[in-house]
Amino acid sequence: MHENAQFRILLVEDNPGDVRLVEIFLGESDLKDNVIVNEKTLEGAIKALDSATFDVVLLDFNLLDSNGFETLENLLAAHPKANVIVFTGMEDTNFGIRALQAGAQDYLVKGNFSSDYLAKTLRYAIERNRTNRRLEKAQARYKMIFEESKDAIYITTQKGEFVEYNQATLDLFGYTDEEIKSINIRALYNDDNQRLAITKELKEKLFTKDYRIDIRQKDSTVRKCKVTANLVDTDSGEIEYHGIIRDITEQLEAERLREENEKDQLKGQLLTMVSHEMRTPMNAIMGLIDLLPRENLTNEQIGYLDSVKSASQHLLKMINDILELQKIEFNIKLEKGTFDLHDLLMNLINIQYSAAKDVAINIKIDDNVPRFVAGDEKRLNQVLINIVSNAFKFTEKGEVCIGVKMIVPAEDEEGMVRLGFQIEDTGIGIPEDKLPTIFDPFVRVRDGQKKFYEGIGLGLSIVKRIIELMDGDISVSSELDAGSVFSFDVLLEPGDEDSINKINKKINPDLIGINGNHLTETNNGTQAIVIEEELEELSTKKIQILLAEDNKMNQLVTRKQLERTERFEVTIAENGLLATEVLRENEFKLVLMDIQMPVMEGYEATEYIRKELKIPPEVLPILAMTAHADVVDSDKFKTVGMQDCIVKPVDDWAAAIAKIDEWLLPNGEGQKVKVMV
Amino acid sequence: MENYKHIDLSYLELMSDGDADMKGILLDMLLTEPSGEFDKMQKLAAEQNWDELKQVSHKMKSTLPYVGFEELTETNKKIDKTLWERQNSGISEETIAQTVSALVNTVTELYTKALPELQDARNNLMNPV
Repeated sequence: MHENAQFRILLVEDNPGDVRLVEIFLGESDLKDNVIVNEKTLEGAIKALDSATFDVVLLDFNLLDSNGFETLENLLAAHPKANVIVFTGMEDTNFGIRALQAGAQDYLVKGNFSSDYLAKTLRYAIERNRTNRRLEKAQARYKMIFEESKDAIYITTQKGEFVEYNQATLDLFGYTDEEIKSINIRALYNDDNQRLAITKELKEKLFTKDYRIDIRQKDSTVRKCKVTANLVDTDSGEIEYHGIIRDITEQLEAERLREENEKDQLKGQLLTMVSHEMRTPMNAIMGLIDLLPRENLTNEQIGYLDSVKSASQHLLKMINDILELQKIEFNIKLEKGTFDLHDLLMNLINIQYSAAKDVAINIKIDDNVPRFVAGDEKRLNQVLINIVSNAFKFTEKGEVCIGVKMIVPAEDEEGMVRLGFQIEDTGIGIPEDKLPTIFDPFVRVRDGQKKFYEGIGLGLSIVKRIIELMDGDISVSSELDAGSVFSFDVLLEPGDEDSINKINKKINPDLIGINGNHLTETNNGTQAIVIEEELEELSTKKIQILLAEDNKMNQLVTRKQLERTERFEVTIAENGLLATEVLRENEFKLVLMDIQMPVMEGYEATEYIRKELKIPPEVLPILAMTAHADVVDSDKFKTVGMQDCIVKPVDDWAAAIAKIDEWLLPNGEGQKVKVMV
Repeated sequence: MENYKHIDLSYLELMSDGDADMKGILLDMLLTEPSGEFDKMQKLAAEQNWDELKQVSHKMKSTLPYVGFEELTETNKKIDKTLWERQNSGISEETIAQTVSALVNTVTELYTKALPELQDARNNLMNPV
């Protein structure tokens, strides 16, 4: 307390002589500058305390409205924290002690104290009171920490009986307040050796810090914990253990998972690196097989070549699946753009449709499903292709139905669109024991002859991961020899039709049923209109490539090499400007863009396509074709909106075509699906 | 195809995929188009019009591999490289002019050596017996 601080003193005294005496005494002392308020009745004193704060109350017992100890008791009842010095005429030690027991800080006997004594008593009472307040506050703080702590804080006797404990202690051990009183802490150690070791350490060092122990809860669950404890001698000579136990079960589990995750990541990186290294030669093998002239080969030799090609395709698919899974597991970032759900589903039909199989394909879209939605179209397409191609693969006869419906979004998904997809087939079905693990990596299904179907069982793992990234879930039900139903939902945003700059409307979007060359009914009764010529077109239509190149020899050779695969049709633009004009009026699946051309060079043309024509990379990949070695190194082609680069002169067309395939349909599907519109 | 002293048409063979018509077209192109381009390069070098010369030389980079005359291809690459790196190379304009002019003369001479062989290959294609 500051030496010159001013005290506020409430003098409750009805005798003017005594009041004057106190004023004189205090005036003579070093407390002369303090404020003295005089009240003559108990009622007045209580009111004064109601309306103002006083450092000390000098209280006479005998007032106009109250006498004896009742005066003190009533005042403290109204103001329990009042700092009271009893001011009495009774010179009786017992009286003073009784006053202290009743809650007074001290007492003074009228006529029996000096100026200095009065001042000293007042000062001591005030300081003592302030110390008590500080102690009370500190206690309240520690009590709050004790009660609210997530760690178990407790005191036990030397024998292990609980003396004090907080709620976290009860939570940790799993006992109620009543139960724990009859529990000995020793019984809560899961390992008695741990208990003996910690007791020994406490006896030797008097404390232990972060000692690892296992605690057994009431229901016998074992929790991994750390304890910090002290051995304390109490005033009464007893020994107590004061301890804090922290439950670290979840923390240890999280650390274990993180370590596992790091190991998985390392394994994944290794797998990715090896797969990358394998993919280039695999592409070369496949391309070179295509380049081999077949005219002079025997049927047997052609058969060998086909087998090599088929095996290579299988290997490449596997490599691409591994790379895709790794990418999705660790690096994927979903894109967002508006797309036409009808177009997406129609393209799906076009890709999956096979006249060779006696399998119908039907799409049922509920009326309230919006046609335009925003999300990652490429990934949703990947999911659908994967599930629908499986449905076709495992179905020899019957039908594959794709259903789309609206699902009511959750409360926190207001303004979003949750779509439910269901793909139902009449195929071989999935054995019951495979259902729980069907979405795990490397799970494959056998056919009736116990032979595995092709693939390494990564497709559905990839599908599940993508769906989870889209805030959705996937499930499957199946019956052997009857078929399977895959259901999943994804969260999308409403789409704006105007933001789509390129919609393929070659096929009537209302066409939602193809059954061989026949028609099927849609859910709303609309009869699909499709003619045989259109179906024929679907299976023969070639992938349209635009080549922007001014060098005649390059034009000739590039067209020759691409068209000999019988999958591509090449249109040539002599310069960048012509390329942009051709793109205004026509649809292409990919552009091969020379960098250095007259009139408008490749970079400028690409920027024009992206910015002015507003054709995004996912709709139209552009691959640079350049003899500039530094273009490849600098990645400049990427910054202007090109996706990849082919170096001229091309001496490995197989690899170049593999690269084109990669951009046409990522994930290796380009190798598998020859027909794409 | 025959073995020639200067040219090697195996790349052209590979790119034409055994298609005789395509080989013919490519050989016709090699017999006619580079002459005009090399004339243009001579003129541009004399004018020290490095920007345009750079474009022509660069364009020839993807044409000359079909001739299969390595010295010719590499000399043209040197012209292309010298001109692309000209501004950052620290080499004086005078040295650039001398070097590039010499290189352009060399590619023209080399192409002149290749021409009879290209013509022979074209003739053989038309009269294989």
